[in-house]
This record gives sequence, C-alpha cells and structure tokens, in this order.
Amino acid sequence: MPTRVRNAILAFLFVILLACPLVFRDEYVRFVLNNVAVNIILVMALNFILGFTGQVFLGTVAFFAVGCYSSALLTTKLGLTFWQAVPPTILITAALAFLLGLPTLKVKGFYLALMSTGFIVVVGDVLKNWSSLTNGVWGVSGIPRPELFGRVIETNVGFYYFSIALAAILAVLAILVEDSRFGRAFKVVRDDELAGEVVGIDSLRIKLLAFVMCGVYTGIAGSLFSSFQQFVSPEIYTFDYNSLFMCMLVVGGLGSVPGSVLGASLLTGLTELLRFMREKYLTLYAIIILVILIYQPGGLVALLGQAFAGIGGRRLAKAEQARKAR
Amino acid sequence: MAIVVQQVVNGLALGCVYGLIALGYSFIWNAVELVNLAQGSFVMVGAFIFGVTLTNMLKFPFIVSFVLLVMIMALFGIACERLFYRPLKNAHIRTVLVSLVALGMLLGNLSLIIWGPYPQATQGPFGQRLLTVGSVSVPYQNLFIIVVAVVLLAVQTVLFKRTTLGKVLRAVAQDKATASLMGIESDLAISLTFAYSSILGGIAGMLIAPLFVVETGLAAMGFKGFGACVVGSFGNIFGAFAGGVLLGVCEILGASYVSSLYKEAIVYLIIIGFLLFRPEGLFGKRREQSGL
Amino acid sequence: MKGREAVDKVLEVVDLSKNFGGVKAVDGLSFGMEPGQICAIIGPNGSGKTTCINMITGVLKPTSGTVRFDGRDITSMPRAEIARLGVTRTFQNLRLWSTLPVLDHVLAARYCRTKSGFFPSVFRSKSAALEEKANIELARELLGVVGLSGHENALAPSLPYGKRRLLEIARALATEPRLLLLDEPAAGMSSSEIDQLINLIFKIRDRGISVVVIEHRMKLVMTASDKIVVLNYGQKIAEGTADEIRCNEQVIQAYLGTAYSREVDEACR
Repeated sequence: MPTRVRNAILAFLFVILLACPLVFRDEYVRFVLNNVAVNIILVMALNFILGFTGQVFLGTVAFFAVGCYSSALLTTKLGLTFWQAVPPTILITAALAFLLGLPTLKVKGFYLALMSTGFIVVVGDVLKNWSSLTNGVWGVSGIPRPELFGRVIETNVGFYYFSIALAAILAVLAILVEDSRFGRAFKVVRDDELAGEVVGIDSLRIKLLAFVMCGVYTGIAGSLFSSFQQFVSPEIYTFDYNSLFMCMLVVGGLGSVPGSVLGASLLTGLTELLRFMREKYLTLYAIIILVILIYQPGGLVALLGQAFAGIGGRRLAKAEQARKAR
Repeated sequence: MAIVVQQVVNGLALGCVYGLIALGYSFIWNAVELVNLAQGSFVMVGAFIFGVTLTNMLKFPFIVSFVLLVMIMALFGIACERLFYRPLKNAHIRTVLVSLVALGMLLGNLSLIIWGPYPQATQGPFGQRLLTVGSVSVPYQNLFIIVVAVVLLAVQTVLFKRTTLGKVLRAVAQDKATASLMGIESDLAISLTFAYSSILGGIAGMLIAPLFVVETGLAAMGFKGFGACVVGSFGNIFGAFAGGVLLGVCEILGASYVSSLYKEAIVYLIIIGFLLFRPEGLFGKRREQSGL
Repeated sequence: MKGREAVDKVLEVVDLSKNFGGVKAVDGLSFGMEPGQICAIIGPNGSGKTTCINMITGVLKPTSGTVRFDGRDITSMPRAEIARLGVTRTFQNLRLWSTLPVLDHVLAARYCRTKSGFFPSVFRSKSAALEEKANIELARELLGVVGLSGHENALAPSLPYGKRRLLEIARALATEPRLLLLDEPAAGMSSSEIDQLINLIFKIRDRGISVVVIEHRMKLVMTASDKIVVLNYGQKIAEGTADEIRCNEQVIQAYLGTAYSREVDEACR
C-alpha cells in the first residue's frame, strides 16, 4: 500500500472515530466506544510483533494483564495518580515484554505458539493467586480516573476523546516507526530472517524491539482500561481473549497500522451488535477470519486501499487532464 | 504413604489422557508436518458427543456410545481434514498457525451453539465408585482410563506393525514421496491419519468427561498434549505418550506437594523449560541447527 | 614473516570441515585469498561449495577448522556481526523479501551502516533525516550499478529471474562489504547475461571489494577469476589460476558425466 494511501486511510478512520460520539448519543454506545479505543491500541501493539515482524506470539494478553494490574496497583496501593502511574506501568510492561521476547531466538513457529499460551497461564495464575499483592480473584477496585487540565475525566464521552487522542498519537508513532529503518528491519525479519542477518540485521535485537514496542503500547492500553473500568479482575486475560485480538488484526489487515485500527473498530462494534447472539458471535468471527485468510489475506484495509487509490488515481487523472487542457 | 499411591495413580490416569492427546498430535505431525493446535477441540467435541449427547441425552449403554463415538469422531476428523487442513497444505506457517487458532475458536463456539453455554456433568461407566485396597482409595474411572489407554496402545502397536493399513500409514508418515511412488495413496492415508487422531482425541474426551465437567474449557487440554509431545518427543509414539504420563503425574503431585493454586502454572513451566532447553524432548533426537 | 602473511590475506580458510551425521560435506578445506582478488570455487554438485560458503558467512557452524577475515577469526561469530565486519553474500536459491519494494531492499541493507539511534530515526531529527536521504541516494546509485534503475517501486516477486539475482547483489553491496561471496550468480543466465554479470563483478572489484564466486558456468569462471579452487566430495582437488585449472585432468574427471562437463571441455580448448 503506498504511503499516501495508508496515511489517508488512517486519517479517514480517525475522523470517523472522532465523529462517533456526535452521531451516537446513547450512553451505552459511548461506553462501548471506549473499549474500541483501548482495543485499537492493543491491536496496534500486537501488530508490531505479529504484523510487522511476523512472530506468531500468542501471549500479548499477558502483557495487557500486567499493564492493567500495574496501573491498578500503583494507583490504589501506592496512591499514585493516573499520570504518575503511567511511566512505571509502561516500564514494567515493556520489561516483561522484553523478557518474554528473549526466548524467540531459540523457540519458533508452533513451539512459540505453545510457549506463549504457557506465559498466559503462568501470568494468569500469579494474578489469581498472589492475593497479598493482587487481591486474587476479587480484583482491584477504586482505580482513579485521570485528571486533565484540572478536571477529572468522569464521563464516557470525555474518556473516549481522551483515549482516542492517545490512540491517534500512538498510530502516528506507529507509522513513523514503520517508515523508519527499524520498520524496514521488522519486515526483513518477517519476510526472511536469514537474508537479513547476512546483511547485518540482527534478528534477535529487532524482535526484542518489536516486543518492547508492543509492551509500551500495551502498558498504555492497560492504564487506560483499568482507569476507565475503575476495576480489574484476573479472569478475563485468557487465550481466547488473545485470539480475539488476533482476529481483529487479521480481519483489519495484518501488518498494517490502519488495518489495526479498522479491525479493532469493526470487530469491537460488531461484538456489541451481535450481543443478542450472546457467546455465539465468536463463530462468526472465526468464519470471517478463515474467509479472509483464504480470499483476502491483506485484510479489509486492502479493500479500502484499493478504493482510496482508485479515488486518488481519478483525482490525479483529472488534474492531469486539467493541466493538459491549459 | 497411601496418599502418595493414590496421587500417583490419579496422576497416571490424567497422564494417560494427556498421552492419548499427545498421540493425536504425534500422528498428525508425522503425516503432514503440522502441529494440530485444534487437537484440544477434538477432545472437547468428543467429551460433548459422548458425555452429553450419547450418555446424558440419548442414554445409550456404554459400549454403544463408545462405538458411535469412534465412528462420529472418525468422520469428524476426515471432514476437518478436507475442509481445513487440505487447503492449508502449502500455506505459510503463519497462515497455518492463525488458521488453526481460528479453527479452535470455531469448534468451541459451534459447541456452545449445539450444547449450550452451561458446563454439564456426566457419569462414566463406573460412576463415582472408589476401589479401596487397604488404605488406598482410587476412583474406578481412573483405573479404567489407565486400562483403556494401555489396551489402546497395545492394539495400535499391533495394528501398525501387522496390518497393511498400519504399514501404509507408517510409510506415508515416514516418506510421502517414496510412498506415492510405490502406489500408496498418500491423500487417503492422510485422511485416515486425521480420522485416527480425531478418534484418539474423542476417546480422551470420553475418558476425561466424568472427571471434569464438560465445557468448552476442556479444549485447553490440547495445549498440554502439545506440551507432552515436547516433553516426550514428536517422532516417537511411545515417547509422546510417555511425555503425557509424565506431565499428568507432575500435575497431580505438583498440586499436592508444591501448590494446588499454581498447578497449571507448574505444568506450563515444565513445558516452557523443555521448550527452552530440550525442545526435542526426553526421547527425541537433537536436530542440527542450520538456520536454513 | 608468517604472521604478516596471515594478515595480508582477506580471507583464509584453514582445515575447515563439516560433518552431517556420517557424511563429510566438507573435509579439511584450506585456501587463502588476497585482497582485491576474484576467487572462484568450482566443483560438481554436492562437492561442498555451498556448505563452505555457509560456514564462512556463519550460516552453518563448522565441525572443525577456522575461518579468518583480514586476519581476524570469524569462525564462531554470529552472522549479523560477520556481516557488519564486512563479509556478505548472495544466495543460490534467492532469498528476497517478498513484501518490500526493490529500493527498500537495498535501503534495508543499509541498516548496519546507519548510525542514527531509535528516537532520532523515528522522530526524524535533522541528522537522522540527512542520513536517511544519503542512504536513499546510495541505494539508488547501487541499483544503477547493477542495472535495476527503472524498477525502484516494483515488488521483488514481480521481477524476472535475472533481475532478482541482480537485486540480491545490489542489496549485498549496500552493506559496504570488503568481501562479497556470490553463490551461483549466473544460474539460469544466457551467455549475454553472463557477459554483463562478468562486467558487474569487475565493477565490484574496482570498488575495492574482494569477490568469491561459486559457479558452474565455466565462461564466467575462466574469464573473471584470478584464482580458482576446485572441490570434489568436500575436498580441495586443485587450486590455481584459470590457465592452470583449465585443462587439469582431475577437474575434467570430477565433472565427467555432469551437466557441465561439456562447458568444462570447451573451456579447455
């Protein structure tokens, strides 16, 4: 996807996202929109590891768990404010991501998938059982909301705009990274690691960088999520939850930043629409994912890309005609 | 002392179930060089079909249910192979991994639709009865599991060594190209391999259903079966089974003597340890690291 | 005197061996190469040429023996570090990056020669932006050197086979190597394409890069090499200049019955 098309789609998506609360006035929808914002950041995080760098690591939900809990505990037990807790949360989550990324040198493919589920179980067990630290299965409540410009962000709308703004900043950061030599290096490791090494690209360092980026983004998402819900509990951080994010990324567009945004938005919204089906919506997701993998591996964002490129092409052609006419 | 014996027997029973699941992985791996991440879902489906449909709802006697289970699982395995695994044959490993995870999700949720979201209890052929020898008490179901597993292994070994079908499956597992040159239909053999692995998964589900409740969470056992192959070995059938037994015993003993809260974590830490330091397993051969 | 000799050689392989199970792919191979030379390694299929190159570039670990680059022991070094020191290669079975456009291939290979750190690069600091611009210009220049100038934005799989080989060479050159190893660069090429390749190899040598070429195409080997090393069954059976090797009995014997025996015979006349 040409850079201009990608940037246009990204801008377009965020404009729509920003307009949503104006269109949807229902409080419940506005509540859901906040989940969209958090999921966007989480899928962008996964994209660094799975999308850009091609590592099938299925344990990022463990980072999310640690991010949520770090923020929750730092604010409730140590009395930090939301903002004060963010840097340590990012640090802790990124450090965990770094640690769990180290084995990727030796462990690959299916084995890495197994290892990542192992991490989810271990982290989950620790969160559930280390009651003195985490309050065990009763969770942590009373997490404060952030303060911005002297006022606490109480409303759903307010928090949504706050999160979407953060998501937008992180999206811009993601494309800056993608276009830098590090983004190229990620893709080199994804497409052919060995060829990268013989031209001097150390694949372990690059993979670790991808993990750290994922950790940073997930830490921010964790701070947002725990602060929004004002409550965290350990049982949601499962392999199935992780698979949901994987679905969002694949459906949106694996390896694409606007794809991450699109996939997260669509599937989170769809989940709500399909609430009446209760748990059965996941069947639909699984079918969608398989269809996309077979027929449209670039994800839905590729379709958007063709549409935008088409419009852009026609615009350029019109400009050319106008120029020639003069 | 009695408690230790009980725990070991229980561990062996659980381990035999893991071993059967591991066998399913091993066969598919040897046939198509693919780790069937959805194997756990086969176990879950087997548990649902046997426990809920055949036993609870239709109330068939055990033998009838067993035979029906085997037939249904065989068909199910072949269907999965045709619909999902065949199109993935030459795909990139990333696509395969993502697809298999999706398949697991799909099966889990189809199960929710068919059998409802509530966990269900089911009785094995021996109910909750305990065998008591001296001061040792062990559920009959656990002994049953061990017996079934051992018998199955024995029958399988004989079938594979003696019958033509068995030899065909082994040939295809070892060298597809040569096998096809010798006129062996590898596609058919692969379908049969999936059918058999599916049967194994189903039997594992049947055996485990009375011990736990039947619910979609059962699919998580699949990963322990994968782990069992890592701990034992993928290539060696007995090694894979042994890996499962080992994990089962470690899980039960770990829960009793280390920490029952962290028992899942303990099992996975063992698996992670093997992945890091001995990925070929206890019985496998170290592969040359060529990086190519 | 002996110490000075060792430092003078850009590449030195000493008693290099590789066992795969019971098979000795390479058996006690030793040879050296002066800076600025073009050295060809030839031998029938299975003689160990690619295994040898894999060991030099760190792709495979030798069972025994030493590899020295500019006098420095690189035998057990990690691959990326060997590349950073100045040794790089192309692959017989072409390993390109299917989602990266042509220009990005060469640009990506500038990674190890780019000094800007993470934050300056990502936030486009002045010095980082300048470095990126310089890298792009160098990448374009290299594409021109190998003859791929018009194809900047094409994706690697869309290029014809010969051009994909040239892309691998351009990519390797982007790392500013001092030693470049080419694994069968002329495979599948026509006679005129081989002429162009020979010119390219000379151009590379003129930039101060020592070149090792694994090849079967005798036209390339006899025209371009300063030195030829001949392998058979993992062992060195001959070493010398083109004239010395051209009609060497053992070489002709080794290639007898293979696809290249006619080329070998023709080279002798």
